[in-house]
Amino acid sequence: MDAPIVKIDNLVKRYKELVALDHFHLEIQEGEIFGLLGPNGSGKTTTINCLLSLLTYDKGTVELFGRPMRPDSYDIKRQIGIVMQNIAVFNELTVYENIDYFCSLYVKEKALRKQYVQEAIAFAGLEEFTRFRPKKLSGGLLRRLNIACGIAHKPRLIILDEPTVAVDPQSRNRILEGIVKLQEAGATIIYTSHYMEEVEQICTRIAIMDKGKNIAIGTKEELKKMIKKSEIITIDLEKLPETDRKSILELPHVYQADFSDHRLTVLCSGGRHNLLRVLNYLQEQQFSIGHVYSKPPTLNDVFLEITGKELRD
Amino acid sequence: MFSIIKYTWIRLIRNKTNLFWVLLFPIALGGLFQAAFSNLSSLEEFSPIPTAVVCSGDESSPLLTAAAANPLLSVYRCSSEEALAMLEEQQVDGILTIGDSITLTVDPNRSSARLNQSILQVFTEQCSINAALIKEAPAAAPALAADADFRKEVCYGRRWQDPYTQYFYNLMAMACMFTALSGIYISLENQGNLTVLGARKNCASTNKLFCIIGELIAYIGFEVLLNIIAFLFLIFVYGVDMRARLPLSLLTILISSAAGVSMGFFIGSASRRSESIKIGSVTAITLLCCFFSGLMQGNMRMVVEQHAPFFNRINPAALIADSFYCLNMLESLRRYTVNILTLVLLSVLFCLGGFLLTRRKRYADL
Repeated sequence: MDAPIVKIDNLVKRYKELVALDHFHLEIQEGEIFGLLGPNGSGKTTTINCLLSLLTYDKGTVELFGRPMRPDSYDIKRQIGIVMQNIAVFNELTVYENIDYFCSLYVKEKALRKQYVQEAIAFAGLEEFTRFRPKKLSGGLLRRLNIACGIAHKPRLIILDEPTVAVDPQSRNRILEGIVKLQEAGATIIYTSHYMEEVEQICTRIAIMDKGKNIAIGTKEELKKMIKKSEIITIDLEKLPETDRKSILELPHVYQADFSDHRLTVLCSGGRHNLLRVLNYLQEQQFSIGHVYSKPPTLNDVFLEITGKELRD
Repeated sequence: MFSIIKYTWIRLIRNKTNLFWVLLFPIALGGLFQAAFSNLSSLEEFSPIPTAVVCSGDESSPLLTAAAANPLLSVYRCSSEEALAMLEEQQVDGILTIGDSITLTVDPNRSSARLNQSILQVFTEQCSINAALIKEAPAAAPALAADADFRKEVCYGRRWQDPYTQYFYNLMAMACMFTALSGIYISLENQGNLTVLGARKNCASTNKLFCIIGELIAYIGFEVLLNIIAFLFLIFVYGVDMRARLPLSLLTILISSAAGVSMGFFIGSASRRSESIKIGSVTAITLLCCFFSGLMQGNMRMVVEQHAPFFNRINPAALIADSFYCLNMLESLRRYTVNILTLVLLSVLFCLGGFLLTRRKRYADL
């Protein structure tokens, strides 16, 4: 395996009494879309700020591209693009001028910069809005401008800190597609979010954070395998006597069966054809079956099982 | 550096708040000053005293010539009857009867003409003394007649100037000091713990000091331009008499604007308070400095000079206003040079302080 592009080792960050990062470890390989998933206050943004050398930390090391990251590591900073959680653009400048300004902080050559700015505008789909000032843009377009400002200089490592907050579904999809395109073009992405669906959709590897700790890391499949639950079956029924509920509980791989509000919820751990077995039993007992749902566990289930609380608590 | 300066200029041109405070507000206030003070100046103009002159003796008396030639008097030659009638009808403030001697007749019940009556009394007494001297030495008559003009304008400085022009010196000082409001943004937009823009710029591969210097150059250049426009507007549109040593006046604006911007940069860097609190603080400090330099109360600088002269030596507004005063009123440039060097020193100290406060590259909290 190649040397990691990002290596955080034993990082501790305290805000007075509050421990924001508690001996945090992380390694990210080049070419990944790495998701940092966790509820608000779990330490995602603090991790990013330590990574960028914006924040002091109490203990640990941060290495980027195999070298220690310091505030004056300008050669490393040249290869990093940052898209902040809050919009960071100048209201007095147009879309084109904003992108050109931020690009100029990395790229000095004017002709090359012009080309990069045009490509960033095309990437973000802002061609029709180049002369608009930020106040004239919708929330989604503003987010796209924020991203374009962060990636125009073609960085190798792009850090996106909750880039889809308060964005309409259409813009969100466009942003997510764009992130995948950036990865395909060779960039490594660090993507923080508390929207598990987004992280599941685009990230090749995911770290789940809680209280400043990295509580689980792996691909989404690996994470889901970490928990007992592998399938959740939900069936609408008129009634279900207690004896039948206990019989279902005795079916192979079923470890939990609950009936309430005319709905049977069956949790299975591994195995195949679990739904078929449950349906066969109910039909044999001549129950009238309503809607039937079967779904694999989500990252929220992973988070719930590991921490005992919902991801969005 | 070029693109930092270019985009900072574009932002400043489009920033209406800055344009208002540094350009439009001084021009508007200058208009109000002009309207108010031009009336005051006209009130101080002296009108010749309407005086009836009755000749009761020699028509070629040098006293008659002296009375007619005196610019203090508006003389009506007439008979004694006509003169009394004019005095009764208040067409004249007094009657000079000139013969062997000179006598003055006034209406003692006219209190409104009391000042003019006093002047006529002094004139009469002077003429009586002169007449006695002429009797003894007739050759001195022409010289004594010429000396009868009591009004003499004395200029203690380089040239005469309307005393209310000092308010315009203070107005320019205020305009230069208001550039501090824009200087705040240099610190706000380069500090990672103050704004998201600052954090984004701190992540870039351009050195922070390089960004700050570029923005300082852009801000100072732009504010100088606005202040020069305001200054030229005062001179050429309002006709304010401040055009003496114009190149040095422009140099004063350059250095004063630099002092203002750097003061804003320093105050902006000094704490983590919000943008609005910093703007409020800078506005309060600026207006306080202007108050002590005499913007609101004309003699305030003199009061400070009597009780706390050192404050006048370090108050940027007082230094700026005094620099304009020196350029327009004093022959020597020594005091002006001291003022300008003090402003340069203050600018350097503010910039150094700002750099030291913003040099932190990592923050304990964002």
